[in-house]
Amino acid sequence: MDQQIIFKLINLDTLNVTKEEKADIHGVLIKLSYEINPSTSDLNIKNNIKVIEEIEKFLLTVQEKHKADFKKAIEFFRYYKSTNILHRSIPEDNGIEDPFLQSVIAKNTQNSIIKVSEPLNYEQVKNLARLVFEDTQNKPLIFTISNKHRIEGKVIGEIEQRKIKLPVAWKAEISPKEDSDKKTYVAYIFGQKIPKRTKIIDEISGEFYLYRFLSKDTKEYVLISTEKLNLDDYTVHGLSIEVEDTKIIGDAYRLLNKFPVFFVHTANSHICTLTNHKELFAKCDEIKLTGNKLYEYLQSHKTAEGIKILEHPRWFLKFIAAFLFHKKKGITSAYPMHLLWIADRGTGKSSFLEALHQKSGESQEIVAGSSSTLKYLIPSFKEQNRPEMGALAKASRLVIVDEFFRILRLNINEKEDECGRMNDLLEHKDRQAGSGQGRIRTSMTARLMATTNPIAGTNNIVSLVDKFDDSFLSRFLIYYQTDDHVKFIHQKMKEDTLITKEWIEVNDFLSIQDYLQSFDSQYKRERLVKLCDKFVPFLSETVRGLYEARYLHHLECLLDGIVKVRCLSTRDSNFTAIEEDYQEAEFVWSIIIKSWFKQTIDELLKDQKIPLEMRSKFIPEEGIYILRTLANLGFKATPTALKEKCRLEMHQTRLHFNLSLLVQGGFIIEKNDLLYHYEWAEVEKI
Amino acid sequence: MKLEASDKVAVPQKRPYIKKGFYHARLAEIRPKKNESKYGKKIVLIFDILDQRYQKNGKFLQLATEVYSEYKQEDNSYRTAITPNSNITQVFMALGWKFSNQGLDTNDFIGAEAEVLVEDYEYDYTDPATNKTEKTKASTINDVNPWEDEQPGVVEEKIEG
Repeated sequence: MDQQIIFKLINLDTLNVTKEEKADIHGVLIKLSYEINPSTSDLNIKNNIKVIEEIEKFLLTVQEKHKADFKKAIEFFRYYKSTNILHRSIPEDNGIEDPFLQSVIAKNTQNSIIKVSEPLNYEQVKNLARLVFEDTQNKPLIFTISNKHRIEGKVIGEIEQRKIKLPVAWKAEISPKEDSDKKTYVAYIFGQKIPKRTKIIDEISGEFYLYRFLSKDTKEYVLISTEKLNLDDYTVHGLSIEVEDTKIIGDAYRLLNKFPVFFVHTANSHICTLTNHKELFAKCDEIKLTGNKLYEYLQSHKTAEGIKILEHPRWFLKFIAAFLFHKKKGITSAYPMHLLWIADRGTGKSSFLEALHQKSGESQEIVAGSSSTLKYLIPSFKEQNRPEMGALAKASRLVIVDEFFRILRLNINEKEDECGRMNDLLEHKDRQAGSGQGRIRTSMTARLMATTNPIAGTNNIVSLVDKFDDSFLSRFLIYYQTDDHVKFIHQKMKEDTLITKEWIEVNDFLSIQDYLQSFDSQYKRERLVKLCDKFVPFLSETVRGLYEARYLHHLECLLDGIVKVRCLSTRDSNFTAIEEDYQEAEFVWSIIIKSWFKQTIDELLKDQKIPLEMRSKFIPEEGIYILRTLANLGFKATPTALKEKCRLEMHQTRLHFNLSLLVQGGFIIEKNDLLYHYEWAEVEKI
Repeated sequence: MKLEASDKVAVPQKRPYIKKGFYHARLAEIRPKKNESKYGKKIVLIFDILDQRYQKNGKFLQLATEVYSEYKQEDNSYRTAITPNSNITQVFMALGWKFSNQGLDTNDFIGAEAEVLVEDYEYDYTDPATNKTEKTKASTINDVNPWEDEQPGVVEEKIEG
């Protein structure tokens, strides 16, 4: 747009005014339109709109005063203002600096694929290939991998397991129809359309690995790399080229579209930006991280109105922190502990998942189990399409699934087939998946946090093991939300929501998490084996299989995480388990295992075949309170005195129920109208 | 059994002394006090004074304060000192704790920042060179308040006279 357009639209000759007046109007228009710029940028367009509004105002006054007709110009202004530009295609600069061109010519006398640090765009790469081809005698083909673009994301799968030969530049012979002797030669590079009537007489191919890459802004690329990459998180520099692709949108209609192909110049894995404990603690000091801040962060949810805290018990937050920070473990292939949290509706699961998702750095949203199928989680091969990686493999660090059991569509006959399909992925094994439609090598790098309602009779561990294949279940640390935890959530729901200003930048949190996941803490394994074995007597035959398969692995992961949480909070660079850590692990572990027996805990407490010391870990909170009160009363008291003391804390019915449970379990001994605490009774041999 | 010998001897150190006032500080360490105090068990909270004037070899000057963690009862048993109005509760609430009956893990507050009130006290210091004992001033933390990032760095009290 320029001044001339304005004067083309405004015909001043038809104005019925004096020469002087016409000159004045012309002068004003020149002055006003002087600031019109070419519409090459949003800023220029914005400025032009301001100018044309001024001109429009002026024209309307002239129109009214002199009964003139500027309809054409005013319509033009209206359209100019109301049209929005969604995408502008700006031609890329194709200039090549001469010294650079000469150096390429001097160094590459043969067909070559070269890597340059210069940020050459695709147009420049094309131009470079053409100039080198035309300016030299032996006309070499050059394909340049430049350092122009940068993408961040995850390599989600291998398209081919080995290097494949890929042609990237061609020498084409063009001979016009009328004069077949007059031949010309042209160089074409990858991504360029080669005209139909050309004859390819030479080509250059490179050996590359092909990967599928999902960027943080959820754009999918085909990654072409000379180096082998892991199925991990990377920052990749290189050259992005858009090639033509088609999408099927109807039975017979294909929509043309552009698919990005990325030639890798350099790829840096950003699994860990911190390299030692010193850097870790410096980062913690920088973000003023304390244990308290960490727990608040884990349970806080950032919304437009502020950062809300959805409170959970402290032990649970420590457990989640340990889940996020532990290093995966295993003999042949290391895999993490995955979590399966089972609880009824309204117990804070989904809101906690949302809060956790905000800290995961994942572009993939929370998987909604109620409206997904298993194929959405694992690799699948649709007809006439690229293989789908599945949500488990696509995630980098954390994959969150809500309503997990609804995905599995509980069907007792198919349980093994259905669930077993996830087993290799959950163990983070590198596997090739395939069907008649294609194949793909993939591996999961994320840990899975799944929550679910106890649907279709899965409200205790026995029925759960009955419904699912236990080799599948054993890959998860299963937590049935305890009554105390549920009560805590319900209580907090009644209170005013806490708002905080404290927040940790997700990248800072992830760099701490990545670093902690990169090394093992030190602990005595034999002590863990003992702790794990302690719980075996409580388990029935069916559940024992599940527990013995992988629960020692989970306990190791838990302790590793607990040590790291403590060392991080106290800036202890030893990362070695101390007594406090073993006790903390036992405490959390007993809550989790105790949660399995919600319905049968009373039977368990009364089972005299199990040693008293072991059963004592399963005493409910109210029972513990009664025992503590009895101890405070001197380890023996009359029933009336004990009831009198406890009545302040619990309802009479609950008191009677718990007291009778403790008596039947042998935790309180009745003798000579007195109640004795079991520890005192042992000493006194009552 | 042959034991190694060393000519190094313990030198009595002068206790740190800085001007009275409010300082920006960070909780660096928590230790249980070795000897029991009059009314029960105490813990020692050691703070880094985040003032570059008192920094030596890249390390901040450290000052401590003590609070009761458990009170001794008549029957010689102990009860927790963490009650809504106790001193330890006030200190940890200043460090960011929200009172709850879930208990308090003091480790969770290492690294937390606070505004501390530094006061003087006098003690007898014997100079190892001259063997002379004289009354000397040292600093201690008398109060711990929440730290807000917007507040001015150091507010020193004017010393009269």
